[in-house]
Formats: sequence, structure tokens, C-alpha cells
Amino acid sequence: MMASLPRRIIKETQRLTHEPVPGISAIPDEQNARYFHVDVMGPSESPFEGGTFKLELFLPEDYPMAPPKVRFMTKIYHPNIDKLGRICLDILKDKWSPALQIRTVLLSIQALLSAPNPDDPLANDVAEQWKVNESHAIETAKAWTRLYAMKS
Amino acid sequence: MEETSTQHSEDEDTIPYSGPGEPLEYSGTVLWHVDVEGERRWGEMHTRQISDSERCEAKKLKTEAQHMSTEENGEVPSSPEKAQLKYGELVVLGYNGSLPYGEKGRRKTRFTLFKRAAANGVKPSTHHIAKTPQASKIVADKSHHSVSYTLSRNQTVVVEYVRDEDTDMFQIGRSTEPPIDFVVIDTVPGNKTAEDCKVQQSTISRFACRIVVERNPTHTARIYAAGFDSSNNIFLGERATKWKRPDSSMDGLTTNGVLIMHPTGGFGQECKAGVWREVSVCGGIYSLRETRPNPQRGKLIDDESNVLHDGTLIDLCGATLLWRSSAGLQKTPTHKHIEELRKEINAARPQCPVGLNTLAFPTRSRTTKVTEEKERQPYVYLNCGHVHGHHLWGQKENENGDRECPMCRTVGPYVPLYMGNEPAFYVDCGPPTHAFCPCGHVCSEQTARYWAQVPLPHGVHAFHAACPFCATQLTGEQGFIKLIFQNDIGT
Repeated sequence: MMASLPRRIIKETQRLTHEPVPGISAIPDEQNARYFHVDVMGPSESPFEGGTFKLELFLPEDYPMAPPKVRFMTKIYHPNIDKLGRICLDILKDKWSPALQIRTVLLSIQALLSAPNPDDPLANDVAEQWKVNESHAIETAKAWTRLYAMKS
Repeated sequence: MEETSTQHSEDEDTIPYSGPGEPLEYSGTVLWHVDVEGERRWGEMHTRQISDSERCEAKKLKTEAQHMSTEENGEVPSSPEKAQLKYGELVVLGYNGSLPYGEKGRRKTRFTLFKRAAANGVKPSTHHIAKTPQASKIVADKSHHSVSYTLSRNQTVVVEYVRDEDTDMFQIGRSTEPPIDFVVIDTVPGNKTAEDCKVQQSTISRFACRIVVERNPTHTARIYAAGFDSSNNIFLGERATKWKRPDSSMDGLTTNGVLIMHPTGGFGQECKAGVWREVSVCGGIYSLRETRPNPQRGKLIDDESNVLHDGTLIDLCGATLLWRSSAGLQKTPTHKHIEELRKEINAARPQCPVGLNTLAFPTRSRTTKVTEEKERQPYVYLNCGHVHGHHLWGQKENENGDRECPMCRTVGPYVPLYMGNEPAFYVDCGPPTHAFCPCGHVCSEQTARYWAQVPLPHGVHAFHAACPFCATQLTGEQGFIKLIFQNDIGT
């Protein structure tokens, strides 16, 4: 399977394995080397602290000319992530550059957890809450983290 | 084009080195013959068609190269076991170490001036007035050197030049005739192949200039406009710019002129471009004419001289030569140095941030089109300096084929990088960290900085900075860019 992969994907995978990013793990699927099982730790001092969020990451055929497809599998209360786990992040869309990598994408997602941006919402109801009553929204996010992201 | 009498009715007929309309016949004696059909006599720029006779000459040169002994080449003294004394080197700007069509005989990108086995210099001696150059015995006598200044149809000042046992003379020009030691043809910017180098018209004089070097230390080298032809004559025709000097001796300028520029601060890290001047037939220094073939001479600059310094540029209108003194060459990197620097940069394993593959600067011969080498070829985004491998991302829909840099999103040209391989153009031995825009020739920072601020004569009155390795006019804010490599941090 690995043999037919572009050198770039092989190198990225090797580096993710040998030098993992702190707080992030990305493991390629045994059946499909373009599909990664990702765990992102909720950043400290964020409502998601203590949680482990599962994501799926898929490298399309034209990667790295096109961005990877990434989705949260774990339910999360965040203004830029919707019910289906889709993420509103510019580098995954029009701001993609082939100089970005799986690790930089995952770091950006981790940063998004630290700094929710309700002005560019994907989940409108969550964003509204975040704007109207931020402390309440943060409480909800903490509760969801305990509920969905801390299953041992 | 009116053809009056056969004799110097035009300057071109009487000045062998004036570019267009080369000399034809003198009193029935054919000095040489060039097809002048279809030539402009006085235009903005004197250009001429390369004639059939010249093509023959080119062929001759080829054969000559095969048969010519090194001694005839004027480079090796008769006793090869004796250590050769090197005066200096002339290097043509715009070539990266070799001619795209191969180095042949006296036609090459660099010419080394060695001390000759026997002195062949000449110096001005007596002058006399003749009715015409042909009427002068000195001119007719091929064993004597002379410069003729035709003042009017029936008055010519002939200055006899006599042997000078203390100097060696080296002549440069487009002609392939024996008196020319270094044959120089017009430089085509960005030339890569022999095909690119074909020039239909030339503005370089057949006998463009001469360099006279003192045989004894300090081996001072001086440059003079015009060279002696096969009959050892220089003719300044009726229409050539000429004048009587205060000491009542004659001096003159050639049609397109020989320009020189001495860099200030010595050719090295601290050097800056100097001011371009014109050198006369007698070696006087003048400010530039309004346009190159303008009949009005510039102002005499009497505190400057025609002595060549390390780094002096000589412009022959069509090709620019760099003079490197023997001492200067000692400080300059060698081919081996540059090869080491290339290997060093490759050893750092620069990486393409997109392909994540290791990049490598190819070896000198560009002909090797190995796929692997092609894959490893470094490219640069000229507006930001980020070095990448080859890929197709970020192509813009504009006609320049601009690309968006994946690292910083700056939009601009994206070109392959090649080492600047001609060591003589380096002002120091610094690492190859900078590249010229838009050609992508890589060299040291100080080298890039120096050449980017040197205005090189271009056409009749324009100047522009150009890459010394390919003569391409520099673009962008600075004309060069600092390269940003991504080194192999992974795996």
C-alpha cells in the first residue's frame, strides 16, 4: 500500500510517527494510508482542556495540491465546528497551500480550540451563545467535553 | 547610399574599426574586403549584416583552431618550461564559464594575457602630413605601424608608431584576422544554446581596441581605442571624431567608441561602480558622448587614466569585458572553490517544502538532462526568495506565468536556479546565497550586490544592470534576491 504513495505522504507519515506533535496523534489506517485516525488533546486553559477529541483526516488524490479533508468525530461545542464535525478553517479551504502539512493543519485545529472565532461561525446557534453569553457558552463547552471527550 | 570616390568618402571607408561599412580599397590595394551592401552608414546605431566573407572567416577560424599551435595563440611563450608570467585576464560578461557553441581558438569567453616571448608593443613616434593615407610610405609599408588622421580630402596626418621593446600589445576585436588576439562577438542576453548566439548584426568593431602592457614590473596595462589591422594601420577617416591636442599631436575616437569603467574601492567586497568614460585612440579619457556614434567628443577628464585596474570594465558596444589583474585573480574563487560551495549547499540537503524531496544544484554541464537531476533542480520564487522544487501549484492566470509562493503567498516569477560558474565575476568567496532576478543565477551576496548596481552600456545611450553570467537585464526592486532554503528537518 505504502509503495504507491507519493514520497511526500510517506515522509509526512514517518515524521508524524517519529516526532509526534505534543498533544496530537495521527495514525494512518492499516487499510488506507491516506486515512488517518487523529486524537487532539483539548488545549490547557480552554473549555476543552482534559478532553481527547477524535478526528478523521483524509488525503485526497491530489494532495498536497488540494487540502486534506478533516472532520471531528467527537461531539464538540464550538462556534466554528458544526454538528457533523465539519470545521470552519480557512487553510482547509481557499487559504490552503501545499507548503502546509498534516501536522500544521492539526496544530491549526488545536489553536482553533484555544481561540474560538464566533464572528466567522459554522454553528450559528453556538456562535450566538458565545456572543450573547460567553460564560454560559464556555460552561456548555466544558460540559460537552466531560460528556463526550472524556470517556475512558 | 551615394558611393562617391573609392577613397574614404565616408568614415566607414577609412576607419577599419568603426563597425559599419568597413574599409574597402585604398589606391587599388585591397586591405580587406567586406560586403557593405545594405548597410546603414550613419544611423542611430551603427550595425552591419554579417556578410558571407565573414562567415568564411568563421569557418577559417574553426580550421585555424584545429591547426593553431598554442604558441600562435599568443598565450604560451616559446619556452613552455619557463613559468609564464600572467598579466591578467579579460572575461566577456554574459557567459557562465564557456561559450554555448564551444570555445574555439581565439574565440572564447576568457583570454589570458601572458608575457610574450618577445616584445611586440609599439609607441607613437614622428608624424608627417600626407595628401592621402595611401600617399604615405609608412602606411604603405606593412612592416610599419601607423595611425592616419584624415583631416580633409587632401590632408592626412600620419603618425608613425615604432617598436617598443618595453611593452607587449594585445588586440581585441570582431575580426578573425591574425592581428586580433582575442576575437569577441556580440553577446546575446540569456544565451543558452549556440542557436541563441547567432547575431545577424554586429556593432563591435573588427579592430576594436588594444591593450599595451609594460613588460617590466609593475606590468601596468593601458587600453587604447582601435586596433591595428593586418597591414598594421589604423585609419581615422574624414568623418571620424578627431582633434589636435594642445601639444599639436592628433587624437581621435572610434565610431561606437570604447568605454571603460573603473570600480571604486578595488574589485572586492567594498567595491562600487565607477563612472563610465570613453578612451581615445591615444589613451585619453573623455566623458561620454551624447550617443555612442555622436561626432561630438566628450570633455577631457585629465585626472583619470587608461590604466586598467582589477575589475575595470571595457565596453566595445555589443560586448563588455572585465579586466582581472593577476593580483586580483589570486583573491578570486576558482572553479574548484565554486564547486566546493555548490557541494556544501547540496550537503545541507535543502528541501522542497511541497514535494519534501531533497534539492540539489546540478553540476556545471547543463546538458545532462537526467530525470533525477531534473527532479532535484531547485527553483526560486523571485519576489520572496523561497526555494522549492518543481511543481505546478499556484499558477496565476496572467501572461507572465507568475506563481503564488506556497510559503508566503507572494506572487511573482518562479524560475530555476543555476550556479554562477564564472569565478572572475565574484567579488569575494562568500557562499552562494543570492540569485539574480529574473535569470536565477546564484552567487555570493556581495557579488550580487555589486553587479546589481553596475550600469552596463546598452545600445546607443542607455545603461542597465545585468547578470554577469548571462547578460540578462536585471528586474525587481534590487535586481537580486536572498535565497531562503528549507533544510531537511524531518526524518
